Amino acid sequence: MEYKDTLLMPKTEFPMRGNLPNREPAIQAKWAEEDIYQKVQKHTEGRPLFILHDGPPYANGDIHMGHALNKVLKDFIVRYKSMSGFQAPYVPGWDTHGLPIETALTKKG
Amino acid sequence: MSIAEFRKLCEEYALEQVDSQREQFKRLGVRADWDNPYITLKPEYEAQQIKVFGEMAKKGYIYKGRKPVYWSPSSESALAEAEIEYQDIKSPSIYVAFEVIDGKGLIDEGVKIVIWTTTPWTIPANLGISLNPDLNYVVVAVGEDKFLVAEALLEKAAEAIGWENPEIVKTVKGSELDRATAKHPLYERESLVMLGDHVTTEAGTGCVHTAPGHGEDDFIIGQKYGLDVLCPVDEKGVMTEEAGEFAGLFYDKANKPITDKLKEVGALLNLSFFTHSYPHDWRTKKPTIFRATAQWFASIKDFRGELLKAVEDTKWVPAWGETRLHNMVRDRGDWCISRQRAWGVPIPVFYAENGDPIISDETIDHVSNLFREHGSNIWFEREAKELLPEGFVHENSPNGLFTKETDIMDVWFDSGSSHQAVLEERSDLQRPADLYLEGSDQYRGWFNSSLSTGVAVTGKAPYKGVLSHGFALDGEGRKMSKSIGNVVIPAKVMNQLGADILRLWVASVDYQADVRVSDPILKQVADVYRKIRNTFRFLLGNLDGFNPENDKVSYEDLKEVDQYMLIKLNKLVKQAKTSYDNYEFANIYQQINNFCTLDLSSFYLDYAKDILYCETPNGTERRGVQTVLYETVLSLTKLVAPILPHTADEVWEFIPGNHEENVQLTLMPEEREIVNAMEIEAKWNAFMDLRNDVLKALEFARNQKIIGKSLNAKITVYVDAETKTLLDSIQESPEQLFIVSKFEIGGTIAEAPEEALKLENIAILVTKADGETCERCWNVSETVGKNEKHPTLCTRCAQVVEETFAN
Repeated sequence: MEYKDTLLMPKTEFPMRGNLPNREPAIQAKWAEEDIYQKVQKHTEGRPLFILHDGPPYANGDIHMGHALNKVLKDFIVRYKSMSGFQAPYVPGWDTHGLPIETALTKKG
Repeated sequence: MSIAEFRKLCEEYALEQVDSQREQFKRLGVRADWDNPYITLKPEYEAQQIKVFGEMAKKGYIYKGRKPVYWSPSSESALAEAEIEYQDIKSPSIYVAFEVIDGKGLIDEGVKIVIWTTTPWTIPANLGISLNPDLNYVVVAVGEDKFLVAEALLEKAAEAIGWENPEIVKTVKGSELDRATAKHPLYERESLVMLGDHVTTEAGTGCVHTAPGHGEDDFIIGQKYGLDVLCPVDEKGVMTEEAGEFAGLFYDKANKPITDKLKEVGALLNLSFFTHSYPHDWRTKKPTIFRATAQWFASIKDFRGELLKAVEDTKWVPAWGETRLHNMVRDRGDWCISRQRAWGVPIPVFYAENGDPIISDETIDHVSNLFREHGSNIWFEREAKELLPEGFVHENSPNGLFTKETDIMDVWFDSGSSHQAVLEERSDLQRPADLYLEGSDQYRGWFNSSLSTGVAVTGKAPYKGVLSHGFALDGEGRKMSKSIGNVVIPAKVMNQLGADILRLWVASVDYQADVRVSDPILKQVADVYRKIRNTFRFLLGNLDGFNPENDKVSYEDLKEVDQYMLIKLNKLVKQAKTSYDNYEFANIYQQINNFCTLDLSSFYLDYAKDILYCETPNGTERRGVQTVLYETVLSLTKLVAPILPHTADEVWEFIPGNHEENVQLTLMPEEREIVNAMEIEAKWNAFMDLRNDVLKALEFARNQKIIGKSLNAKITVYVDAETKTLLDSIQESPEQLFIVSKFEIGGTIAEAPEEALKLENIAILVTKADGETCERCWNVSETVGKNEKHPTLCTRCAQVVEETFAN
């Protein structure tokens, strides 16, 4: 008998390496597939509402760290609230009028 | 291209940008109603915004006034700041004397207040002189005359004007001269002395020529003091009748005659010329001026009291937010809501034949409905008449003729109306919101504009609470900029490290102040992530074969050390939930990190390995440890789920037993009432102190080469009575707890041999353990060799192998 085979060493398929840049998009695709936002809304229906109202970022250009900081903080709160006895719908918004867009278009020609 | 066509292009462009940003936000793992966002250009949004405007107008808060804006005489239009470029021009520089009429009992009549300006053409528009309330001002005698200038600028002014030996005869504080008056040098009217912080000692005399029709600061202080907005310059830049004898002159050509006239009346103290950088029209490349034009305003003063009350009724985090907004509301002038641009929501005002504006419930409802059906572009596609209800008549339009306003609204009015256009409009939301959360620049922005429209329309703030965060700076605390090359781009972080790392960074920082981010900082966070992930992996790996339905051991049947870990876990749950409730995410980051490294990795999991790997698989001892691991992985996954949603989802699928399909559908772990918590915690905290002493001794022994790894060691401790009682009361194997092969109590501290390590309540002797190394568990034991069937195993391992693996 090989004694090492009698040891109950840890066994799991959960990977040691996160490999997040590849794995996350797959997880997000699954969320989209199951429509996780609506699923959570349905699941939490009837609970008291917690409304975090999104301030609309200006719709021009790529997002920077300030945007990321802002949206992630909001997501922490909304996710926590929906796991703490609230229904926490989160409707993102965009600010779409104004001069920067006029200027961007004028520059585009 | 028509305005309507241009606006169509703007809309297309904006929606493309929305799509692009939406994908980027999704990549962060943000869970939101991405398929049904609110967009300020959508018809239903614009329709509600019109109603907000209408409601404010109905309450009398909307009025048409005048305000100086960048004006280009060459293109005869207002310019936005973005349309300004700077070029050098040569300008006159003049010092002008204003004789005091009322010196508030401090300054004699006839003393000359000295102002400095580079735009003589604005002298006809002068209505006041601004002083800084905190500066000292001096009256100086020069020959027969007396002049007033700021003390700090006396030397410069004297040099510029050519005063020799000015003698200071009096010093006063700026604040003491509030509302003093002086005579305008060219007209029969008074100029009011006012106080403002915009007055500095950078240049001039500290006495600032103030023409509310021709300058931003001038306008603001003029509003505060109730001055008119005098602007004797028309849209072509030509002086009007209000400028008296200078009427008909182009403003730039009026400089000389005005200066000559000042000289003639004895008010000109000095004239010189200099070259400086001056705003120009980016299209025509010609100089621009500040010029008061007709604008729409929302009156703030009419409901300032209500605004201040609403600020008080709101919960501000951090607390200084309240002061910030309070002061802003207290000090601000009326809100100029009109813009002379194309891309925005039109101001829904019609004009009657006599020029009177028409705003009524009827017109507002009609325009709102039109926008809801067609979008606001219809305002630019149709004539005024077609935008009015059918058969609309008005007493001031006997011929049935109407025109429409062409200005659009300030974009802050757009986003500031979202409490109506989104929270009221949508059935899944409600107003007031529980929370607004934005960067600290939004106190003057969205927090402010939303409060203004919210209070104006409903009497209340649109939010119950406001939370703000700082700006993202680089690793050294500098602003990120392309030229320094220190910009951290979210997309790059996600491609290299992942969204959960970026999110963990967000959790790690003190976000209410400005935060720092750089590659090294992110790398540190990634290390912490790895620790958390390894903890999850260890927990999951050791739950292999554990079926919570059958294998869980009840709390009462657990060993104390297992109970101790559940108490620790319970504490973590309580702390983390409190931190979430208070939006203190950096605390959660610390709490989770400490729990994983200190409680689990360096103690409990280390201790548990021998039991998990070597003890009877289905024995209570092993199942007890697994019960702790199971409870831990369940709670820990839920606690990190808001911060690390991807990782939590991934872990969740590997947790054994029946549970909710997705961790996002679960509730945070409940804090449990544990009866013996206090007593167990006190006892085991004391044990942990003892354990630290033993670890110290082991470390010392390793350095002395007495032992190799700790499993080779035998520990003999010499203890006081209290410690002996503690050790005697512990039922767990001390060898397993200390991860050594043999543990003994040798006697009292006094009985300790020379070579023992002596600490406060204990002396510890580390020696090599007697016996052979067990082939299976690697403990050194004198029992190895005792079992004939398993001569290389210790008694414990021989027994486990016999019982469980005999076949």
